[in-house]
Amino acid sequence: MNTSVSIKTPQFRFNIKHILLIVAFVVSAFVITNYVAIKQAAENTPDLSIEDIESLAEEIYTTGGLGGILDDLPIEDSLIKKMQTEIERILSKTIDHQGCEVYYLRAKQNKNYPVLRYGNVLVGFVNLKIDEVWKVGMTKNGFEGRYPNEIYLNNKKLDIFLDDNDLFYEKIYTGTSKQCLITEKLLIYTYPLWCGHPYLIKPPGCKIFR
Amino acid sequence: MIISVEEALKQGVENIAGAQPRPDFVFSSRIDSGSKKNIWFSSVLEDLINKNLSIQNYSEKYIQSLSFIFVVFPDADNGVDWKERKSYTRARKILKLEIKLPDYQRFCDATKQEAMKIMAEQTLRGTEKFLSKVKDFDYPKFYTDLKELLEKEGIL
Repeated sequence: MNTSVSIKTPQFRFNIKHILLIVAFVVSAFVITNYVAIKQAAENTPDLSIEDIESLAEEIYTTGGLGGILDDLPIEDSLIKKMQTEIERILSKTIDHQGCEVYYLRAKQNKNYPVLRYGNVLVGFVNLKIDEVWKVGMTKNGFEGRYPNEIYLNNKKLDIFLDDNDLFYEKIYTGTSKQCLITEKLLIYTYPLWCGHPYLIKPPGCKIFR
Repeated sequence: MIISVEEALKQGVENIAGAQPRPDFVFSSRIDSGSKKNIWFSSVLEDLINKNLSIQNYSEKYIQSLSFIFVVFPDADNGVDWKERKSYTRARKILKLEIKLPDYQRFCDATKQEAMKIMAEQTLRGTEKFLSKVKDFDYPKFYTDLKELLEKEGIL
């Protein structure tokens, strides 16, 4: 006697639910990977305060040389070399004016602020929170000499006009022109280490590294 | 992350700094790090005045926005020389008053209420110093309205 047993399984059909499941999985994997990467980057980023920068600048200024002081900064080697060359150029200057200051222009609102590049080119925008630094600068002519029209940016193409309504001026350091130039340089180059935006290589309001 | 100009425009110009018309009254500052804690309370004054006063009631056509910029540095500051002044931007019809807060240390050590009072008093003083002779500006009305508002809110 022959007995045959046949089992019928429902045929697998790829439907919209499966597509949604795959999309959800891919999105979750992307979010988790990014989260872990950003968290790791944030943990690896050393805390650098203005006091640390000031003492570095003071050390460079008083010793009159770099002597490997900047070698261990966790930024790109090419940037360290560029910074070293620029600081050496500052140190070699014979004139050292008194009464200069380094300042921040800080965001007054939680908004998208312009990211600038050499030639006043608008690269894009970055979302800054209130009090975050948009620009690091140095002046020996006072605020009036630096910003005679009290305008920080006038982009006629996009009709963007940054002034006291968008930014406020905070003096952070007073010293001679050499001291201020060195401090400014260090703050600009180390911006990704202390600003909270590690993907930016310099303050968004600084067109170049000085 | 950096977003493109197109993306920023897609998010809306209201989210772009400097792309919106200025409020009637702006409070800003030039400070050092020591005074930052209390200078934030100037935003409370800014909101209050913008909600209750309108520049159109005081200036017919030459002033569309009035800025009060507090200058807060120690007396013995070795940096650049800061002075009180007023400046006018004709193209944008903005009048800016730079007002120096006296007694730096008192302001830095003040409570919120005290700091607000100092800024309110100095705003009135600056108003009197710089606006009383400005043409196309109803100074007596503005001074009275501003003082009444600050008193009503318990700031003065």
